[in-house]
Amino acid sequence: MKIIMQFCVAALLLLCTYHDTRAQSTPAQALTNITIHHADGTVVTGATLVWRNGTIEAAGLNVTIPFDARVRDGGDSLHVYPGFIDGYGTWGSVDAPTNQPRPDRPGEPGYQRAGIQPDRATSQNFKTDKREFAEIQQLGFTVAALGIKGFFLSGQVDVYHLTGAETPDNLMADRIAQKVQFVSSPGAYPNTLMAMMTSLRQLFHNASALQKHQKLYAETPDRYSPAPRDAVLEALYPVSDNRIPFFFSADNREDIQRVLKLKDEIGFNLVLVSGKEAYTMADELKRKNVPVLVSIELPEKPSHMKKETDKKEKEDNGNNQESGETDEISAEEANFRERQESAYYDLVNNARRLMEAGVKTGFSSSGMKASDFGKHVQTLLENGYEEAALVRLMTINTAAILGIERNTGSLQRGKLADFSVRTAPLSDKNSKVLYGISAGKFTEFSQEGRRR
Amino acid sequence: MRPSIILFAIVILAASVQARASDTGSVHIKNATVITISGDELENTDVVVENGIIRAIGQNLATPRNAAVVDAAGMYLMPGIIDAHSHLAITRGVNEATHPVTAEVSMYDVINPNDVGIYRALAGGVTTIHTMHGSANVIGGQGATLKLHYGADAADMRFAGAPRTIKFALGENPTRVHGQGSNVQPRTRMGVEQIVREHFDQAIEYREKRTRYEQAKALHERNPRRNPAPEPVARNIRLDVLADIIDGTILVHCHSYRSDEILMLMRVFNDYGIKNYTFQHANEAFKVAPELKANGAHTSIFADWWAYKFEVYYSTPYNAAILNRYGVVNSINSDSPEVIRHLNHEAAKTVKYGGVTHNEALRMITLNPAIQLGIDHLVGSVEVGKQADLSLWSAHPLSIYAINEMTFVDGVRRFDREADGDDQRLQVSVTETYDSMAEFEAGRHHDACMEDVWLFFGEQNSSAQHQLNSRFNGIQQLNGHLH
Repeated sequence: MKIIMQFCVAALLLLCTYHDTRAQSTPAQALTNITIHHADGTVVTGATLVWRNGTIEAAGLNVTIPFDARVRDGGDSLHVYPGFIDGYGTWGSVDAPTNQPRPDRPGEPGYQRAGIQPDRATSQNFKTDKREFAEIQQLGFTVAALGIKGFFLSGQVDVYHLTGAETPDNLMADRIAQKVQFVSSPGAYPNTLMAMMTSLRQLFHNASALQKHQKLYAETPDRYSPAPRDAVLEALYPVSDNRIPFFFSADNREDIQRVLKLKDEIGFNLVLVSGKEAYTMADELKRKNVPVLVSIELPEKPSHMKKETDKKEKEDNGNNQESGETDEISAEEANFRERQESAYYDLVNNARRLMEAGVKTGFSSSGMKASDFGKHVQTLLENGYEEAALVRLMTINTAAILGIERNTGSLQRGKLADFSVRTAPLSDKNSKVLYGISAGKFTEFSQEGRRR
Repeated sequence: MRPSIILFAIVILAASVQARASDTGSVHIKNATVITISGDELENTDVVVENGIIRAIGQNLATPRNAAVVDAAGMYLMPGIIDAHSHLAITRGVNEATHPVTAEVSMYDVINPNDVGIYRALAGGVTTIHTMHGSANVIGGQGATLKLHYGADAADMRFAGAPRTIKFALGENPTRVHGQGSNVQPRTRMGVEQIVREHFDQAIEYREKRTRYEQAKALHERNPRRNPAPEPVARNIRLDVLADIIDGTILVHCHSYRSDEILMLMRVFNDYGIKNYTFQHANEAFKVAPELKANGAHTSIFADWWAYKFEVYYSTPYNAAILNRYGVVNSINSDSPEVIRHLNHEAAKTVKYGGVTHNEALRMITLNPAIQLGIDHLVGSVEVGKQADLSLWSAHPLSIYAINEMTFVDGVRRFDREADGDDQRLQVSVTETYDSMAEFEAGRHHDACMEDVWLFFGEQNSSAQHQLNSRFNGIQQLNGHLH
């Protein structure tokens, strides 16, 4: 019996070795007769893309297809885009707690209850339901910087390759940033905006003193009292040492000014996340070299704008006789409507203005529903955004802000095979993602939207 | 209405905003009755303002180059009104009601320069406000003294040169919020006193430690071999602010009602050597007017509002007149986004109840609050060399028929009744309605000092939701109140 067991173990080991050897000579894969939409805006038709072992070997025309390649023919109708990168999202995260009990001492609630949790890692905070990863893959995303849903300092940001339910196993870069937002954990200090502002300052004072103390004690333990450990403050050291930035969410102009004020006072590196009114601060953001991972989530049009659109559509359909209702409004209200309309277009044009002003601008889903992505992209395209600019925003620009541009973000030899295959160009509102390829891992989506 | 008329109206409105923006702060106001406050009332008098400063007061003055001219014949010019107690222009939370001492927070961090309440205050002739933390905490946050530069960024509203201030609160509010609400000290008025004393003692100890650390650190940096690095003492913002109060660099404004607690705080402040402070509300201050005068304490009160909670029943509209008679520097405040629009009426009540002079009554909404905020050398009266914060009235401002026609802040016309359009929102959000600006309650309905306490006691989830980007989901300002 013992001999049989030994034999089995030996056979198993052999099998594993055999698999390893095979892995080194994985056959190449190739897509032929496709249209490649590059991150820099160039479009190449009749192109070929070859990848092996998760890395791109060739992309373009006149490509020699390796003998061992598994070839898929795009039949001249498929469109390949570099994988979109979500610069900050909370896909797959556990939810922030709700209805938390009142702390015994609301003024000293402890870090966790206060929502000050920079020590949290995404890997420990994924929910069991992993469907969200496939949902955004199906939008063309292959990489995402993920954070955890929470409050004021919600945790560290880690970059993952999106590979469906296996996403949590495909960490690409960890602790690239710490996430902050002016959202307090209700019922505990810091509860208001003013207290969050000052708490952040105090946290850095505490972290700085503790870091010094730990260093002194480590060097000469006989001269100093033992330095305590504090996981929360220690998680801020990479930020205070300027090794990683704060990913700070803020949308309106005044909040962005608050964040910049804190940056100036404390001296942290900053990436602004969401930034729906960031265009109002574009010059300062550029001067201070603050990148923006912009949200493209837009509000509904005001009702009077919707009415106008509906009316126009009716007229276009030759259906203009009835309705007859005209708005009798005062000059003041007309002025209001005009201002509201321009406020709407200001939000629409935000990302473009940032890019035009020379602010490093990438993309962030930042709480947006996956199902709304297509709608917002279409609105931007209808309002004068070029497809190429949107692709750049969501690929190489975002990769550069996340510090992963050498690995991904464009379809170049040597970079990771991160791309999506669509039925039509992104600008076509019927365009669907057929395949998502994340570091070479192939995922096929059915036309009904289900992942196979 | 025809589109062409609408377009014309829009052009006119846009032009009026343009003119305002290009205002240089130079203006020649002609032939007004000038209520100087610090001196006599001057009839048929010109006031010449250049670059925001009053340069000349007299008759038949020459108009400086680039100065606008305002014919004020038959009108009254007075210093801009100063409200020593306001909660206007605060973003997302007036009370950090989680701890009885939150000296570390500052209203300067959370100014909302787009609050249309600022414009409403300008319409009432107000040019400076002291916007404060609420009264939930024994020691609340630091206040912000703001010039009402409506349309400027938050940072540009800060009153340059105004000393730092801080809010204290005694009595029912802190004991209710912390004692009854959170079951922590203070539960009683005795506890309130102890909270102040304990925190002052902590601050003194901290300041000593921190100073010793900084000295040792400086020595170490100069000569690391001879002087080993000291063990760090972290900077503590809360205790730093408290130590600054004891050092006299921060003016205390203390919410209070009862005479016994007013006496208590004066005893505490005498023990710690704190001077130059103001009791806010102080409905029973008249009972201890001589003691207030002896300690150099000021008061800032309502003209005639009381009985909105138990500790505010013993009150009289003669409070201001009695304090004034005893030589206490007293001001009349609004503590309300509505009352701030007619502080002249509030001041007039002191003439009715107690017969103070017209000048003394108006002093209570101009020079006296300026003294309490430490800005009386800059504003509060119409004097050559002072900042040109002025309001121009159709009749004597104590008359119920007087209407404020124009308000100037640093010589810039920030309110013009004739020229301004009705809709003075600086920002229009995509989700709000045209009518939302008109949703405004007249009169005084609640204790503004306890605003937003519900953020703390209220529904957690709704509060978290509100915090998320109010402008984009259509909620401009939180308006939770606790009566």
